[in-house]
Amino acid sequence: MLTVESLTFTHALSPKKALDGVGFSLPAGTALLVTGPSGSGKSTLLSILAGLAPRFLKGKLEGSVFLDGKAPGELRHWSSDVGFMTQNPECQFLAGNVEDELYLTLRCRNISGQAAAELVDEALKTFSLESVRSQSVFNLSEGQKQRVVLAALTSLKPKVLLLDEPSANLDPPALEQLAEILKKIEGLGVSLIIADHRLAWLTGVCRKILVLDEGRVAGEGDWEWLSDDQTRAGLGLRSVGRCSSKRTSSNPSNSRQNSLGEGVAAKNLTFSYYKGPIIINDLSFKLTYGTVTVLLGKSGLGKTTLARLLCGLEKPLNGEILFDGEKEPGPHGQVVLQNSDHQLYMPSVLEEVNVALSQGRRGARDDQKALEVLSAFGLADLAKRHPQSLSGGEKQRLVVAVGLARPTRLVVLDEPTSGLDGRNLSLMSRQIIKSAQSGPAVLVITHDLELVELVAQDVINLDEVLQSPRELLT
Amino acid sequence: MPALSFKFSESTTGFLKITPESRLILTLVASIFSLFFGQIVPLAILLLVTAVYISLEIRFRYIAIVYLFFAFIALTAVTFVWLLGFVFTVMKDQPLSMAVIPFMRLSISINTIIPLAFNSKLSELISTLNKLRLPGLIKLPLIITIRFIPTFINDLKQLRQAVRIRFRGVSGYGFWVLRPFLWSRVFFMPLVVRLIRSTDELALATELKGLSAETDFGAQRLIFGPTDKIVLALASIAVSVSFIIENLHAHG
Repeated sequence: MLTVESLTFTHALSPKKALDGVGFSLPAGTALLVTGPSGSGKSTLLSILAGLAPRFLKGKLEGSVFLDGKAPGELRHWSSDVGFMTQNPECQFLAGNVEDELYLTLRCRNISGQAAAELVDEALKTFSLESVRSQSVFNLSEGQKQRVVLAALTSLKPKVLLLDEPSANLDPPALEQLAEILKKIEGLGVSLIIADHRLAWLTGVCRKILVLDEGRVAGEGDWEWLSDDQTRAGLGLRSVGRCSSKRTSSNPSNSRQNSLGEGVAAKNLTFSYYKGPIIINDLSFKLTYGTVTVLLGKSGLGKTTLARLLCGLEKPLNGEILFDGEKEPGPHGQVVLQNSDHQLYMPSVLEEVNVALSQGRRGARDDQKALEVLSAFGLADLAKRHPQSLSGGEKQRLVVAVGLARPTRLVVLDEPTSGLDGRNLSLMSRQIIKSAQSGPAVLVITHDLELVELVAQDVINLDEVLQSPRELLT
Repeated sequence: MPALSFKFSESTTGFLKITPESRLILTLVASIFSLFFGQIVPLAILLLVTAVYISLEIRFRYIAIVYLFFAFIALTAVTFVWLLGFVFTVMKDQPLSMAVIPFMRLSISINTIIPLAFNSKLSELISTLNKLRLPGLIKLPLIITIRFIPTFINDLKQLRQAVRIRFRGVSGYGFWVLRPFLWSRVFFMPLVVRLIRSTDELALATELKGLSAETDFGAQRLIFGPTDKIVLALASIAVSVSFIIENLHAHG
C-alpha cells in the first residue's frame, strides 16, 4: 500500500506551491491516473514519490510518503521498490547501447550475470526491442527510448511503477501494447501511478483518477465522472474517447494535378545513416502549400529522419527535395524537433521570437509582432522570462511559436503536442492551421490522434507508403 | 557463473578489437606517465603513439569534434594567459614549453579515454574496474566521466543542427564571422544549460539505477588475447623509450 499524506512542495526560488496538501492511498495492484492541465504538479508529485525531492528536486517538502509503512530512505534503495520513468527517458540512460542499458540496470541490483542475461532477452522480446538490441541509445527514436526505460524498470519487478507521460512519443499500436503490458503488471500486484494528458488509452488500465490543478486535488473519481464533456473542459482535460488509428494516405489527388510544380516534393528519396541499413527507400510524396499534412507511422520507421531530409539537415543517398520543382541548396524550411532545450538561446522569451522574426539580421526587431506571436500561443505573460526557466509544455509552445513565426515555404513540426493538455492542444492546433493558411506547406509528424483529427488536411501514412513507395506521385 | 558470461551481440568494437581491460590499462598508463614526464620529446612520443591508437579505434569525425572543442578551450586559455601577461609581466617571460606541455598531457589523456568511452560497454567497464581492484572513490567518477563524453558529443551535434535550422539565412561557415556575438550566444548558451542538465541527469540516472561506489559485478581474472598482448607490448616500448629520453634530458 502506498500512502501519501498532505504532500506540499515549493520549488527552490519559487514563491508558489507546486503541490499543496495532496493526499491519497493506493492499494497494491491498483493503477491510478494522475492528470490535469500543464503545470498542475503531476511531474512534481511523481518526482517526490520517486524519492527525488529534496536532493535532486530542490525545494521545501512537507507531508509524508509511505510504502508498506516505510518512508523513503536513501534513493538508490528506494528506487529498487519504486521504478520511475521520467518525461525525458534519455536522461535515465547510463549505458551506451540498448542491451547494455538493460543488463546494467539488472546487474546494479545484484542480479547475477546469467539471470540478468535471461531477463534482458525476455524484456527485449516483450517490448519489441530485439531489432535495436545493439544500437546506440542516442540513435533510437523517442518511442524506442521510452520502451527501453520501461523494459528496464519492469524487469526489476518494482512494487510501484511511476510513469510520467508514457504516451508522449508512442504510436497507437505501441500504446495498445503498453496498455496490455501495464494491465499484466497490475495483475502481478504492482501499483501503477501514471501521469498523462492522453486519457483514452488508459480507460482499460486505470480504475482510479486523480485530477490536479495548480498543485491541489481538483477531483477524484472514475471514468464515468470524466465522461462528461463539460467536466473535462472545465478541468482542461483531453478527450476520453478513442480516435480512429487507421488513417490512410490521402494526398494523391493533389500530386496528380501538378506532380512537381508548386509545393514541396520529395522524389525517390533513399537514405541510410553512415553505412547503416536503408531507412528510407525510394520514397516520393508531395506537400501542398497552405495545407497541413500529417505524417503517421510506427516509432522508428524514419519519420524524424524524413523531417531532417526535408529541411536539408541530412543528405539523401539518392533522390531529391524540390521546392516548386527546383532544388534548394543548404538547409531549407523550418523544422521544430522534439528536444526543446537545444532550440532556445536568448535571454528572454520575447527576444527568442524577435530573433526568429528577424532571422538573425541586425536592427530588424519588432517587439509588437513578437508579442502578437506570443499572445497567439498563450505566452505573452511570460515574455520577460528566461526561456530555459519555462516548464516543459511552455517551452514546447515557444519552440513551435518560433518555428511558425518565420516566413518560410515549409514547416515541419515533430510531435508538437506531446505532453500538452486539452486546452493547449486546441490552441496549438488552431495555430498550426492558421500558419498553413498563411502560405507554407506544414508537415506535422505525430502519434497524437486527437491532433490528427483536429488539423489533418492531408495524411501520409508511412506504414503504407513504404510498402508502395511510388504510389503518391504516379 | 562469471559476471560476463552473457554474450553481447557485439562484444567489442573498434579496429583493434582489444578488451576493455586493455583499453583501461592504456588510459591509466598514458595518463599517469604524461603527468610524470616534463620534457617535450617524451611527451611528443606518447602523443604520437596515442594519436595512432585513437585513429585506429574511432571514426575521424568524432575525433575532429572532440579536438575542435579542445582547440577552442586551448585557444581561450592561451588568449587569457597572454592577456594576463600585460598585468603580471612574469607570465610574459615564461618559455613556450610551459604553455605547450599541459595541452600535450591533456591530448594524450583524450587520445586514450575517447576509445575507452566509445568502444566499451559500461557493464564491461564496471566489471573491468572491479578486476583491476580500483577503489570505489576512483571507480564511480571514472564511470561518470567516461559516460559523459558521448552525451557531450550528442549535445554538440543537436546544438549544431538547431543553429543550422534557426539561422538558415545566416548560418553556415560565415555565421560566426558575420555575427560572432549572436553565434556565441546561440551556441554556448544552450551548451552551458545542456552541460549542467547532463551532469544532473547522469547523477540522477546513477542513483535511480542504484549504481554506487560499492557496486560490484564480481572480479574475475584478467584475460588478454593476442591482439591485447601486442598492443600492450607496443605501449610498453613507447613508454620505456619516453622514460629513457626523459631521464637523459633530466641528467644531461
